[in-house]
Amino acid sequence: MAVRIVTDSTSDLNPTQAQELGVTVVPANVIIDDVTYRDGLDMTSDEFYRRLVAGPSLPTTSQPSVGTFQAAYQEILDQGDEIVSIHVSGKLSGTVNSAEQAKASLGDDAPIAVVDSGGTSIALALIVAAAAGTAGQASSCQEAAEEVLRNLPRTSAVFALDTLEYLQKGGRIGKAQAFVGSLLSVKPILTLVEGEVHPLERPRNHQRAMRRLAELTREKGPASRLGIAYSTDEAWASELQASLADVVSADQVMTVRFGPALGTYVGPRAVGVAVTSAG
Amino acid sequence: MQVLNGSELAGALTAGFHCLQRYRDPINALNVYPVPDGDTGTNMLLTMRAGVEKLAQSESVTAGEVAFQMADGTFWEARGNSGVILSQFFKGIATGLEGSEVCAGSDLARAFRAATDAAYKSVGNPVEGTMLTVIRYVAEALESSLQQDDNILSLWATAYQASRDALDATPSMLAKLREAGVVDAGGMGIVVILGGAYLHLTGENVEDADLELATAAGQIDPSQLDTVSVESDFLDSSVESEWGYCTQFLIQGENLDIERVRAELAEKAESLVIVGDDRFIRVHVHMEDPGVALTYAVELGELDQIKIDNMSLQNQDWASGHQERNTPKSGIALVAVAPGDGLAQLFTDTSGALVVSGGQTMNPSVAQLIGAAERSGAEDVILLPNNKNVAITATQAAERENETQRLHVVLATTVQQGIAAALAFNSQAPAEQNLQAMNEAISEVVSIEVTRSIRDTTLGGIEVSEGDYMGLVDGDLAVVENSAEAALLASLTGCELTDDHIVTIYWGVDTDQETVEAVAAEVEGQAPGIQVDLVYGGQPHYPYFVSVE
Repeated sequence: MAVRIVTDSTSDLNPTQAQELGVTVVPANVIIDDVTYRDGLDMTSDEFYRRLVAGPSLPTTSQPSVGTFQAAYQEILDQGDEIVSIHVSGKLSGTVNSAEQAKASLGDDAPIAVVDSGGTSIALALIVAAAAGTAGQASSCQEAAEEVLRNLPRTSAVFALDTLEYLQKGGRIGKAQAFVGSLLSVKPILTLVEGEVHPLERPRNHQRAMRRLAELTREKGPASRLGIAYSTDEAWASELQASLADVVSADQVMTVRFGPALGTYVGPRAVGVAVTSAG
Repeated sequence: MQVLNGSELAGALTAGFHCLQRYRDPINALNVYPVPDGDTGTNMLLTMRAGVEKLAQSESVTAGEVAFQMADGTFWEARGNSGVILSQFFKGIATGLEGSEVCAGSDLARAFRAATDAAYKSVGNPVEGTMLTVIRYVAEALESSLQQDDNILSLWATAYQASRDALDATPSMLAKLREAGVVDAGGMGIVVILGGAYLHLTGENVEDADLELATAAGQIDPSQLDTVSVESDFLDSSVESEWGYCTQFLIQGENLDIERVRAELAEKAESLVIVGDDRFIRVHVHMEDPGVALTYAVELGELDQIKIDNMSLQNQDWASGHQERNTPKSGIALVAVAPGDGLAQLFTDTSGALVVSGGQTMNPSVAQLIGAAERSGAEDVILLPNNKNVAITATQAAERENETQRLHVVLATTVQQGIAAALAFNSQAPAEQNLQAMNEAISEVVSIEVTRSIRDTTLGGIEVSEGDYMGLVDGDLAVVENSAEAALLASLTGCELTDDHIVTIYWGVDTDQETVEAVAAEVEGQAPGIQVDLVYGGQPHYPYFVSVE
């Protein structure tokens, strides 16, 4: 018996990363012009952002179906393994509900523990990666899940968006509504507090936003891992990594690209930094 | 000004009406006696409107005719306790001015004496501390001043001051007003009419007048209803009482005996105000059963203009309006002072700030700032004065004791600093954190103001001629040029711009976009790669406000 980790595609782990971690990724759905695409599988990110920017129709997203979860869980259970299923904040998505329903459908004693990470994207990716690293030592899925829950507060993230437009139109703006305003151009910096989008600061341009992302990350204190995410500008991710090079060694930095599901809300020219504090 | 001719009197009365219009809601909110039903302002206003409309339609030439039209118009539309008394007030004025070509000082005194008599007579049981007292004080003040001074303007000032003194004294005469912590609503109506007329006669604008009237709780800003408050114990007990029905109608008949109607209705009803003659009698009474009054009156003649209001329901509306304004506040908000439509919009857009109009030459009052803070409904309110002259007012406002709200000041002394502070504001963060972030933001802004000199002078050793454009950097005169654009560019030169700076140009109401864009291009030329943002500010007197950060 082993404890295996399942997550959803809002973790933005690409297939290679998922395989290296030994993690199963259940895809969310992205719907554009009435066509449903499995997040991260059916459409490249390049294609997605091209269509997002071209408009005019806005994509929408839906959580993975119960059936998708059932199939993913069943495959692991069939091998005699147990599951910790770690997902995007329940305040942003109904994914946790789908996972719980799938678990219930597989019987009361199915060895599955569902965890609401309270985060998403690169923060979720760091949490999942850490869980994948320690799951091997756990004697049961419950024990592994408890370890994950204990460590959740260590990981946090800050994001700088080019515009709040997509977050607002997608209905996920949350408390960052306070930062909506169009007369002066700003690059809003957001975080998640108790699983909800929360406003932090409004630097006036991209350079200052990048600087503040790095400063806010440093303010978290000694770090064990860093995660960097970008939607359209990979160079910005490299720039952030370089400016934080002294915080952790290069092999402790994970970079992901906001996939279509996340991209629906953060939009183009978005960047984010997640940090897992040391100890 | 020795006398008022007919049209001058009509103008003054019309201005009084407009002032009453401005104070209608505060007067409604103050209305606690005899019934706290919140309609005194509306009743007086609608009654007076009928008089003013009659006046506008008539071709009255003499002061006597003007007064007659006011009295006639108000009689036919008089409503509510205070409205009927007001119509009798005008009837008395008309009696006093009957046959007068113009209104001289002695006429005014005579008119107010007649108005006092008519007003007292209209009420079944005259009570002091009401609008009756205010009218009487005016009559007495006019009579005693007339010996020394017969200038109509200074007599009108005397009348207005006497009305204010009387209003201030009303709580000491009437226990209900003391309990509620207010002055008399109808009395305030009289003060406001006299005050509006006085402003008009002295050539001042009535539209946005603030007569600086006050209750126990503080000064009233007529544009901000939350500056009018009533003691909460009074509110609570008022809604527990039964108030019955306010019953009003007009009896039309022949050989009517008004004294008998008064006496007979006095046995059945309260708050009697009964006026008229032997052909028309207007009745205003408060009764538990309105049917009793109607049954009685229908025997006397035809009934018209029957109006019945459930005062318990009116009282509930009135009390809940007050209670809503008194409810505990939560969250954090900004109040910003801004001198232009574009800047006001910018503050609202970036931070949800409530904006009070003001700036260099138009300082808002402490009451205005406190009123805006109240309106925000927030527990913590941060004031952004955005001008050196307003900073003191904001500090004073923040020092006022306030049980439901904490007021803070972030001392932005320029609009540019204010905008930077507003951008640093985060309604989801605690007050202390906001104050720190906003103060920090201010310290990172260099403010440039470009304005035109209105005289020859020397400032900080620099000679300035009338018409020159001055560039001020953080308040100090830095450059003098012959165009606003040159002054702006020269001021920026001193800032040693790099491509890391952000320059924001807020252009004024008298500047056009094309000119601004040309200036922006030049600034970009000074430091290639620099970010230059253009925002319409709409401020007067300053072609440009510029921030460098």
